Amino acid sequence: MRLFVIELRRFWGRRITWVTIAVIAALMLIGVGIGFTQASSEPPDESSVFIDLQCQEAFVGFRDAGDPELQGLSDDELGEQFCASSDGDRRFFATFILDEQTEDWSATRAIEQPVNNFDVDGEEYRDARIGLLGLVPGISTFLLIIAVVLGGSFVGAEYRFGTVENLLLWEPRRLKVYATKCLAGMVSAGAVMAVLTAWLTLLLVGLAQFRGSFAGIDGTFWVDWVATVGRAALMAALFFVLAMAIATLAKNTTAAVVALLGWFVVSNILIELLARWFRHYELFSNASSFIGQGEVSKYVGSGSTETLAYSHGYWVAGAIVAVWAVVPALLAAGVFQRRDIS
Amino acid sequence: MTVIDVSGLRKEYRNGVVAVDDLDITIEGGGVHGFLGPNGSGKTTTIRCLLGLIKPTAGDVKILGTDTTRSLHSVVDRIGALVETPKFFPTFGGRKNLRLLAGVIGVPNAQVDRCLETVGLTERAGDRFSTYSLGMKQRLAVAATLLKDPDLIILDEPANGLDPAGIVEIRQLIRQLGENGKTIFVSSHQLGEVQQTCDEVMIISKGRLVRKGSVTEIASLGVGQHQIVTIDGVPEAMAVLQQAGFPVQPGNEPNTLLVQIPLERSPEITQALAASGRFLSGLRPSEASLESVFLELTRGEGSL
Repeated sequence: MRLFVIELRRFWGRRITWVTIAVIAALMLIGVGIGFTQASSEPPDESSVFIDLQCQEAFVGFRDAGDPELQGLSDDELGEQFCASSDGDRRFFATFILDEQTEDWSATRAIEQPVNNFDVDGEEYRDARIGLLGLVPGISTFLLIIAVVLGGSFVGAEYRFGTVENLLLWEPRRLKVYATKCLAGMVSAGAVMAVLTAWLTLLLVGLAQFRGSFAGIDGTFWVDWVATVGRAALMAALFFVLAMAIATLAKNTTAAVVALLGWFVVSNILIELLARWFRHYELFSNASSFIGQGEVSKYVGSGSTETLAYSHGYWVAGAIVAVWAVVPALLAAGVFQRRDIS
Repeated sequence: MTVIDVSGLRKEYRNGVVAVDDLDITIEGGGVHGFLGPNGSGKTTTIRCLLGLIKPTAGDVKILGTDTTRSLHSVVDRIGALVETPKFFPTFGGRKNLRLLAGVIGVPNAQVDRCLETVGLTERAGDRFSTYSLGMKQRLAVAATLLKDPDLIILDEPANGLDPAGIVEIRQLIRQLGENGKTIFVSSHQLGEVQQTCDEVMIISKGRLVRKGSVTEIASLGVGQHQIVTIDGVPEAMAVLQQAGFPVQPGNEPNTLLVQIPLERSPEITQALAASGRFLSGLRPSEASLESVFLELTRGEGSL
């Protein structure tokens, strides 16, 4: 317990922890400030319903491929539930803090003209929604990078400054030291994620107060919010462990940060080009799915018939991320146990 | 009580370098024990093996009666150690760094302050470690070794980076701790430091123990082995003696030569020089010096 407290004190005494929190908090403030200037406090004059047919077609495909959460829904219901959007309403709806898991009445508001067209492989798609959609899950996934930086540097700094040697002169049971570091780091990284998410929510609630609406928010919304933050915190803890493991194996921070950020940037390209079979095992997409209670898709078929289909839900996604973290952590703990400190 | 008991210690690194080879060390409790050796002789590797930082390739290591390869944790509270350079978090203050360590085994904060005072760092204790001078960093590391109020203190080159005043302070501290019943195991390549602080000395060379004994015993090994010749024209006299087959080198004092030859053969020096028309003005055996023994032992691997 003493060692755990010491590791917590070290985590929270580090400059990088506070600098990172401050920088991200400031960026959130700037982002919400921009949202404030872009949003309107006035509701739209008229409304109509727009259903993105291509989106609806995709969801029909997911349902037919066996997605358990979509079973029992008709084509129209899928369209209304997942592919309806609003336009002309430039207010910020506090319900956008969460993803589509929260009932979002604003999403059913109508538009007549398609908005936000974008192009994928020559197919034209329309963004079914506008606004600051799903901010907490989306930004939480991005914030996992913080856990990577903190986890990598937590151990990397020990090697850089040689302090791991000092610590082992006081507690030579290395597995205990490593496990305690993991545990303290997990708790702390989860707390950092929760604090930043809470700060983001606070800012967005303020945004909704002055430039939007609290429509649709009830007790369930906040229960969902707490659960989302909890899932994000859990993912941050696992990413911390993963980064710490890489930093332990490489004996420096940079290796962990470069490896995971590099993976974050190029993984989709690599998978698309070289290993499509790996798509549903990819680290960040599974983490994102777990936080947002989304689903992960995989490629089925081959050649011209290859298409995306439902692979697994968010619990399995969380378990896959856990495997990503635990296996390297066990390896790193074994190396740490046996390695000469010199 | 035997405080350190090392037998057959060997450390071979993956690249094939043998840093320590079949080393046996026994240290009884109390007093200051010097661990002397040139750079690269295996001192630090030995200390790291003692402290569980490096896994020995072979051999047994016991500290305070405990096999450290298995149960170091049961005695680590009684061991204070400083290995090579001081290692602390640079953005934390000295006091905070010590408190983090102290917290691992529940040493009270008051003890941290006492140790800081002992090494004269109280006034700068709140400053970041990165702003400390080398000497201050070294003193903080010494303070860290004292935190546990340990029975055994292992110091690896504790005077590194200290100014002359700091060296004297450390020397006095080591002596004081030794006199207070602590067992101090101090490695160094600074002979003067060892000669002035240690009761016993072990000399290591190329990973092997080449001599062990009290400082007086070790130093006396060199008595009579070197003769100091005082003569005008040192280069010419040196050439003459070398031609006659004497191992000879310039002496530390002006107009002197150091000839490695037993005292009873010193007339041969006079004879050789006289035969070449050179006459010495002085001939005396060198005094007992740890330095000369150390150099001889570590150069010739224990030939004395």
